Amino acid sequence: MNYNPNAGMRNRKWENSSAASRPRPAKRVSDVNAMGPSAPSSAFMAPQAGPGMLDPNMYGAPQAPIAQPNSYGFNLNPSQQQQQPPQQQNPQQNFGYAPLPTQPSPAPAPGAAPAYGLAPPGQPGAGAVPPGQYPQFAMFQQPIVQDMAMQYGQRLADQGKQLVENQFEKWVPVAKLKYYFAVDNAYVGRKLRLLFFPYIHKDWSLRYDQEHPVQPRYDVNAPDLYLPTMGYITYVIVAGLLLGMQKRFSPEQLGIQASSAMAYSIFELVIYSIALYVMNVKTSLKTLDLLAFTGYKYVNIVVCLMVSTLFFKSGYYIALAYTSFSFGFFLLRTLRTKLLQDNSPAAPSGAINYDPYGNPQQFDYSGGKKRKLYFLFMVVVGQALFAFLLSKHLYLPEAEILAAPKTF
Amino acid sequence: MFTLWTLIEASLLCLNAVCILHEERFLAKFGWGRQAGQQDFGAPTAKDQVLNLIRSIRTVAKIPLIFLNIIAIIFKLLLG
Repeated sequence: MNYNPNAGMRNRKWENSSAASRPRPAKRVSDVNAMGPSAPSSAFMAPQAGPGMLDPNMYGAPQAPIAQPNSYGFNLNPSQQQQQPPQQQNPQQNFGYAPLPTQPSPAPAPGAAPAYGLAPPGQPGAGAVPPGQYPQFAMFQQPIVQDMAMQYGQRLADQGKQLVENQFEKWVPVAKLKYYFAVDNAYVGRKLRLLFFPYIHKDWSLRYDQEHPVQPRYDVNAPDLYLPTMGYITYVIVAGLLLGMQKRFSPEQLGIQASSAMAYSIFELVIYSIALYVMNVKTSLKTLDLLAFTGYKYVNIVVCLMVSTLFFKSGYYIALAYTSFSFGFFLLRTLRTKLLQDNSPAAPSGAINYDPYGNPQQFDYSGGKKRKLYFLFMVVVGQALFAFLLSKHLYLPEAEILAAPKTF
Repeated sequence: MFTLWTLIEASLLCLNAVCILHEERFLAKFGWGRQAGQQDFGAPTAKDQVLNLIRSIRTVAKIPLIFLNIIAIIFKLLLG
């Protein structure tokens, strides 16, 4: 806080004066608006000059009723006419307490209560305030009190923030999300090359760093969410572009395309998650991984649509076929690593387990390889299918098509 | 058109459908009752998983569905 050189002296000076002359002991921080002038220092609030704020009549008598927070500073009896210049500074200081009085009035009391122990309700200074007018409120002007009040308020704010963050963490796993966005430009370039030319890639295994997969920044095989997000946004923009080229554009179409693609994605994700559960496939493939892998198709769709601007219908279908094929290859290779071999049960799959009655059972449960393959094929086919569904109404069929605006 | 709103509506209807299936009165007639799925030999089959899924959806979503349905009814009444 700003150093107030006179505060201590004023306090001490007031201690010797008669405490009994106080009409009422200072109560709450909500009375702060009634505070009289004191140290001209201390404004941790930027000075807010306004016609009403510099009006000395706003600071009422000590007998002003305890102010309600919303009538802050305005219900006071303008019975005192204080013309000293230090008063002009006070509006800025007092309004610094605005956040605090909005709490219910008992709440500031515990915060303000210890402050009372610091200095008896004091009069700021002989020169600033005539004693007996606001002695009990002037104490709040002391920097120590302001410090404490500010710290108390900050502590409450921090607690509130912690609480909100904890609740938020339950719904959106922020820490896990950060892993997926830890990418850099080199990774993006390599990944794009991998998506379109997966044939030249040799090593498909994921690198681990003590049980945790390495960040995508360091391992081109790791899934990330940056490309899918950017792909989705680019898809919406390219959809707008193509609609405009076909004279079908209106601003609502952008929202419709975005929401439609999002609905398809969510639906697809739900189908895959249910399929994983029903087929009882135990993998280390988390939902976010699945989201990442199914999001890569937006990149393919964007490329197909852009090719269709050059080569129209045939170009679109050729690009669709090629990207679907290469993306399928990519998915097969990546997910085979992640899906089929990542699942290491505690006991080897041919082990003898005992059912509750002590009879040995033989599990010829080979980890469900067949089911995993089925799931994998379903995902690959699903990608091609959804890529087609998401772009079939958008590609540029002929040159110079002048279609009437139509909804589909 | 397949937008987010239609997805929400469809999922609401599907959840309603799942919660309506009564175990004893209806599913047991198809051999999908609760007793049928409790055998422990062998890995849980797909049918077991589906039954588990239905039962858990029903348990979890019964109460929120009441509110969601009320909201949907109000929306439909007001917005047609």
